[in-house]
Amino acid sequence: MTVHLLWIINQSGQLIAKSSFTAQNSIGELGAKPDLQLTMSSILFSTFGMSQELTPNANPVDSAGMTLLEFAEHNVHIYETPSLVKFVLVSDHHTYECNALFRQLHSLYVEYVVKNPFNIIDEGGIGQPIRIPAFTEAVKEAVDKYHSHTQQPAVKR
Amino acid sequence: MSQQRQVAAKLGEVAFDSGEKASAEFFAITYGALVQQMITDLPQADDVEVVNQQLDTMGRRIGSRLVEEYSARSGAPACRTFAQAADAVAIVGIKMFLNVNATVQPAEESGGDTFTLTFADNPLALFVELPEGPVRQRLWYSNVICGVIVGALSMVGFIAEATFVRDTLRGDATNEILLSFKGREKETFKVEQ
Repeated sequence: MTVHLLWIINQSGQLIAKSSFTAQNSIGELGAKPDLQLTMSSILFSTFGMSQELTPNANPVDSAGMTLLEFAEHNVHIYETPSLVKFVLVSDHHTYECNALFRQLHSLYVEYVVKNPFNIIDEGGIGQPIRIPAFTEAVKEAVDKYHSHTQQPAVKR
Repeated sequence: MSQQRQVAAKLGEVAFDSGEKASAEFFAITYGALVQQMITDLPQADDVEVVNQQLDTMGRRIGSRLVEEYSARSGAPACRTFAQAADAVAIVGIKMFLNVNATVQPAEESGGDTFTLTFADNPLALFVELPEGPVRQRLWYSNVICGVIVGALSMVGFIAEATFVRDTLRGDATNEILLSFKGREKETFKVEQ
């Protein structure tokens, strides 16, 4: 149950935070090319919107966007807040849900970012990358704890 | 109270209980000092509407951040309709942050897009007696609450207006805010037909 990468995408589609938690080569080209992360996060933002619009669900107002993308080597998890901020986690392909971790990351985002009166909140499409060292540190700590908790069953076995 | 509202009321109570507590008196006195400073700073002593506007603007900034705390900590689901949003504001949000029991009902003859939020207690106005004159006549002392509501709703896609219509500080029997739906924020993505 390994988490490789976190993106936070604001409601305008801007990548406002990214954190890696494993070696660069664990996510292929995405690890080596920061510009590619900007491009891919924009594509993911648009695709998420399309998934809401194109759903076969009879009542589109009630449709959530996609929450899990499964690939051969990785899964991509997406969590959208009511204010349309999206948290994206790239994990190994054995991990099928990260809900508790998402809720914890959302709480950290609230405590360190949203409540900071000098951090600009997406006003009219103008976002601001998150440059708050305490937040970055808290995120890494949360993911490290997540890793140590989810590794334990394997160790016991 | 409908079952949905009972669930919402429980969410508000739990969210309030789980939050850290601070002295209500300190909060009220701090707010009072802020309002008093705004009135003192007025270039024209009777231009009280300026203070109402400043409180609203400040409230919008507060609300745009508070809504994130609301969604992270209350666990309340996203609102799909404005009626649901009005319920959430009155029953969960106001309870969660102010520990005030507010009621909400559709305004008469509004066609379903205007709601009245009513609450008897106002923790912002704990020790306040407004002086006679333009301040008592025209100041909406707790106008920051209206700004908070509008700012919070705009972050989750609802364009709204909120105005006080009754205030115990002016001698009314209770406090009442009129909350009107003005539209939806533009969708972030639209498939061209």
